[in-house]
Amino acid sequence: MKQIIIASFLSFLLATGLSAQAVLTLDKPEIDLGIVYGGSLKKGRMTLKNTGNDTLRIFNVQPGCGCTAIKKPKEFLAPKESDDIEIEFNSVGYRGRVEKDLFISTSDPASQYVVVKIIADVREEMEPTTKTNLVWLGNVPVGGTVTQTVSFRNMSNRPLTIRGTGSSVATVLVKPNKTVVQPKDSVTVQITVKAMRTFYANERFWLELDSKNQPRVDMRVSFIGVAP
Amino acid sequence: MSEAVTLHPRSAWEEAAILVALACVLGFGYTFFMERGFFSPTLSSETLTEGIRLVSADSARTLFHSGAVLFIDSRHTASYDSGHVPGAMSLPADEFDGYRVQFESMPRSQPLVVYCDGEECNSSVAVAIRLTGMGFTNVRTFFGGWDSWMKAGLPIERSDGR
Repeated sequence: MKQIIIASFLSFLLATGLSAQAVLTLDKPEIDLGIVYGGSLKKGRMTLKNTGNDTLRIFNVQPGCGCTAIKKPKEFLAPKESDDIEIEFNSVGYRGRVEKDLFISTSDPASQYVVVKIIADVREEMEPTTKTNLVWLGNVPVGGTVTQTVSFRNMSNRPLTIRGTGSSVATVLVKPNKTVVQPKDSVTVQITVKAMRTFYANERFWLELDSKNQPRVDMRVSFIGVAP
Repeated sequence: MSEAVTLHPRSAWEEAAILVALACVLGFGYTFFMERGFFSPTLSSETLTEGIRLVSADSARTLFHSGAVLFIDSRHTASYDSGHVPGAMSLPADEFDGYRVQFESMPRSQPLVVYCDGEECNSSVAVAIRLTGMGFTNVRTFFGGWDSWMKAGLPIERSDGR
């Protein structure tokens, strides 16, 4: 009788031990950010829930791109407990439909490595006609200046006003040829840089708009300062 | 007259134990001397696909101090702005077509070292392959990337030159 009780108890422990399992459940299959206007940041979130009967461990949450900052959830989720992954997508440099991956690794045997898509539809109201965000000026003699123009087209259906311009350094000057840009019309912007030393420079400049959707158009300008 | 010798054949359990012990000695010995498991991926080897070589953090540091190589940062521009290898040129993998103009007049023999965030990113490999496709003949990938550069305490620079 004693052996039967011990065997039953051990079987019970074994059975419960084997059946205890953490289960990762996501509240949605992907994080769809919808329309994101160029240059802006947009936040999104996803909820992770442990629907199993054992503690779920979140080993890692890793965005597949430097364009996405994340706030990780708790490392351990008790059964029935949930927590959020918060993400912030930086749309600079993107246009059109963008898909980025978010990698999640957990202790759930069925979801040890999960890939979640982050989707965004990046639009611009003022778009560079070159379709790129970089103005390359090549070699610039130190102490000298180089000027280049870049055009932007108003893609919206209303006039846009350029309220101001700016740059990350004082040696990059930005001068548009008009302040009000009609729908489907273009503005030409003159970019002048001065090289201060023999060095590769990659700087930012921007146009400030009266648009609520896209208050700022960010661009890059790069060049190499060379000995005169 | 010779004495009769009685052989005691080993049991199956004894033979199995000996085989397991030998396998363990071989396995641990291989791992110890080769510094990698037998079935480990060979990413630590010197050559990757398309003839692109991988470099360690130590090699990256040596190449950096030699001044003979150009570092290429394949991360998003926001990451580049927050810190990069001094003198590195920005070439975000997602904007390759817009940024490739920076390299079009560069001598194709220019040694290049491409890096991204670290071992969990792959944009450095993607950019290295595309640079090779542009005709560059000496392209390396610094697989440890920015993470291992930072951990090694190597010099960094922000995009504004600070």
